[in-house]
Amino acid sequence: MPDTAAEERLLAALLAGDRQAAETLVDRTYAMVFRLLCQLCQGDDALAADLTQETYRRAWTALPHFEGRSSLGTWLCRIAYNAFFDHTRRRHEESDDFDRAAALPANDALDPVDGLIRDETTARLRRAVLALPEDLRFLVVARFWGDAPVRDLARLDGVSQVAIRKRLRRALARLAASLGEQRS
Amino acid sequence: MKLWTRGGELKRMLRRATAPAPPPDLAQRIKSEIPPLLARPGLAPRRAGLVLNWPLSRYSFAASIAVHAAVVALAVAAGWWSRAHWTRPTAGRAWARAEVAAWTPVWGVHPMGFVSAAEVHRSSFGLDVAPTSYETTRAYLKAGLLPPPAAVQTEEFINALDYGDPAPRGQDVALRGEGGPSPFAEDPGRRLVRFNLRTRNVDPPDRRPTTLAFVIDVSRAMGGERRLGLVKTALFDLARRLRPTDQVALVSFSSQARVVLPPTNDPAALTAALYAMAPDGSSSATSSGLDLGLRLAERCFRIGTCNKVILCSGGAAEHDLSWPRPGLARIAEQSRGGVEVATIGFRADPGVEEMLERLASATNSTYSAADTGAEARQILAEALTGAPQSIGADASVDVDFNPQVVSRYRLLGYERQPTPEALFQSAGGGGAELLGGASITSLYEIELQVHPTEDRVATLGLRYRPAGRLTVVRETRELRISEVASTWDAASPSLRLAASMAEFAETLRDNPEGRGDAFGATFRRAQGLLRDYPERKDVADFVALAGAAAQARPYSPEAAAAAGRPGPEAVSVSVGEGSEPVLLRKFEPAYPDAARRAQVAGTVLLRAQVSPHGDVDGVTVLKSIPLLDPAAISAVRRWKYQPALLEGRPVVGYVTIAVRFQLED
Repeated sequence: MPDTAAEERLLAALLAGDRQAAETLVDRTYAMVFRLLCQLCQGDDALAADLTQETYRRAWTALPHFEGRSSLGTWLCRIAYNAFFDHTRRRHEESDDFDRAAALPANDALDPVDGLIRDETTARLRRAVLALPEDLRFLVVARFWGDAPVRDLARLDGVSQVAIRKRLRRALARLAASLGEQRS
Repeated sequence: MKLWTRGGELKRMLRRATAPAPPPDLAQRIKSEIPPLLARPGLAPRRAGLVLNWPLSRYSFAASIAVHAAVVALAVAAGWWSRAHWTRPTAGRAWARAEVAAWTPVWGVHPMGFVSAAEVHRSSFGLDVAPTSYETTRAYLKAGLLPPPAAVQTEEFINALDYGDPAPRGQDVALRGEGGPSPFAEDPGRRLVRFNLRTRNVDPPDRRPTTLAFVIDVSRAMGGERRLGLVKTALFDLARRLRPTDQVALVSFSSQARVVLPPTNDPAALTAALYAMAPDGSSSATSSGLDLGLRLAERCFRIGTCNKVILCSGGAAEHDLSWPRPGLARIAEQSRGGVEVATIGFRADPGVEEMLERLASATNSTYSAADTGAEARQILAEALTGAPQSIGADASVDVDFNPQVVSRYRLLGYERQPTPEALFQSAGGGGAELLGGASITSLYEIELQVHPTEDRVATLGLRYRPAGRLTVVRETRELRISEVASTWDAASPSLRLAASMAEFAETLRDNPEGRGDAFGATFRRAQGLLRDYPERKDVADFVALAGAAAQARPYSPEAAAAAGRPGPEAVSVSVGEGSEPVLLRKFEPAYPDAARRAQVAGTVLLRAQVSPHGDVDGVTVLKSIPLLDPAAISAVRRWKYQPALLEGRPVVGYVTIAVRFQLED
């Protein structure tokens, strides 16, 4: 869990327009953002990298409106998540979220060995996550791929931590159910 | 065991999902795009409200420096002023303000009164009921004392007995309704109706006998009612599910371990042992404690049965609950030797939960989280039966009274349970979980119209989502006037039993001074039940309790202390002699922007649970305004109280808070 005082100082510096602070923020968070987007893009590294850049572009524009309801990390998770879905929306205007995301080129562009290493479970898991309803999907993505603390997610939605954990549990139950279905 | 993994495995899978390292130049690429004028004034917040939305100690102060100096000066001053003078309105401001209008303590008992069916024809009751209050009362009466009135919760008394409603076959739930005369009034127009909801049994008939050894953390971190109470509630329920071939053993540990209950099959012995268990106030788990606990648990096991060790812990982040290495090694060893190990976190804070999950994965065991009584019961029932116990989710009950037949009604008990609407809110939009083998009984006292014009008295409705399905189904059961008997002789034995139990509870609650005659009448009526239920041990026990009440002395803290303070930890709300929580520090809620734009104003009514440390650690919404609830809750959560005192000790207390949101023009 990030040090709150340090984060506040960082945020203050950012809002004061301190470029150095922005670089620190990037250093601290870009690997997490990239990892999260990698999961969403199913290992398409190049796309994930592009979307990571896009995430920060959006972050700089949105920074003055940052309300401090969550940590900067969780806030970036949300932006990255939106960036990914905006991207897929542009490519497949007509279909719904799930089809759009699933229609992304899977691993074709990748080294075949890489594809073998990444086992099939990951792909199925990703499909299952993308098929979750919107509210649960972001929670799962942020919590497990973006390592966002429950406390932050609760504040972001303005509900209790218990409610968030309950939703997460509901999401996991759904994932388990849909994975079971795919298996049989 | 896969079936009750409850997501632990999946979580690990999700976390394990690998990702390649970011490209080496990515950070540089991102940094090259940082705009030269980060957070430039042109991008300043359009809403002055932002500055006020946050206490000054956090972000707003720094934010404002960057934004307009003028706004800052104004807003900081206004913010400081409104914080320092929270009771006084911030006159002349253009933005809306939220103000805490009043707070009233909930102290003692507030019975629910009669409701006019013409005004509100639909009622509801919660499905999460445990017999804790009845068991507590038994402990007091055994010590020759009447229980403190606030410890008596009628709905828990009513649900302490089985009324012989058979479990349904071939369907999920059976709804029942019946009626008879009211034990509370001589008036023939007053009647008592009993509704029952019984779910099908999901205990597989051919399962192996099970031995469960509970290793229960009773250190300070388990904090009385909040966590240990949850463990007990779930174990009371488990006691009813035991078969003659099952065994249960209890081991408690804090700084040291001891056997609370050697392996037994007797549900009464289990409930008795649960009373004796109280947090001992010592520090959290040490290596010797857990280690001994597990070794004792090991001895309980029988060959050829299904053996499980269940670690029950919880704790708050401020307590260092570190699991020692020798303990881990032992659990791992046991799980290899055919003994299943499970870890359950009872209302574990996120930090502690992570730790318990790590413990579970390190020992190849499963982790489950229990945040509510229903969850705790479900987890333990699944541990016993080895089968998933949930038969549905999002369940809610409603009773629709026909105003043509019923002029007024009153629900017995449930004074302290949050309203179903509030539960719905706090569960994040879902209702209760429907467990297999459950029987929930609820009583209403009704007053019939002088000339009923229709036949339907009321309709009991249950709405739930069957397990594994996405659609919600609704079951209903109509109660006809012909099913509501007018005399005791015509009423069914189950109704007489329920009526007697309710009468006992309400007499205890209304007669703290112990007027012998009131209890005498109750006792005489209860005695009649022995004819109907000659073979039922629990009914005989109830009649004996009713007899004991007639002779018991009134409750007083001194008498309770002299009697060894029977079962105080099981009392869910602090009682009579003591002080209520006193507000020390309060924070203004922020007016949510969306609500302000939508011109939504009004009063949100909250009930807050104040911990013995003075923190608000549970908030339920009594009266909801969806757009305003989150702001009210998050403000109240930060309040500080001087905790409620009972017999000089800080205990859990409750306060009701009205948060008023007003729009100013």
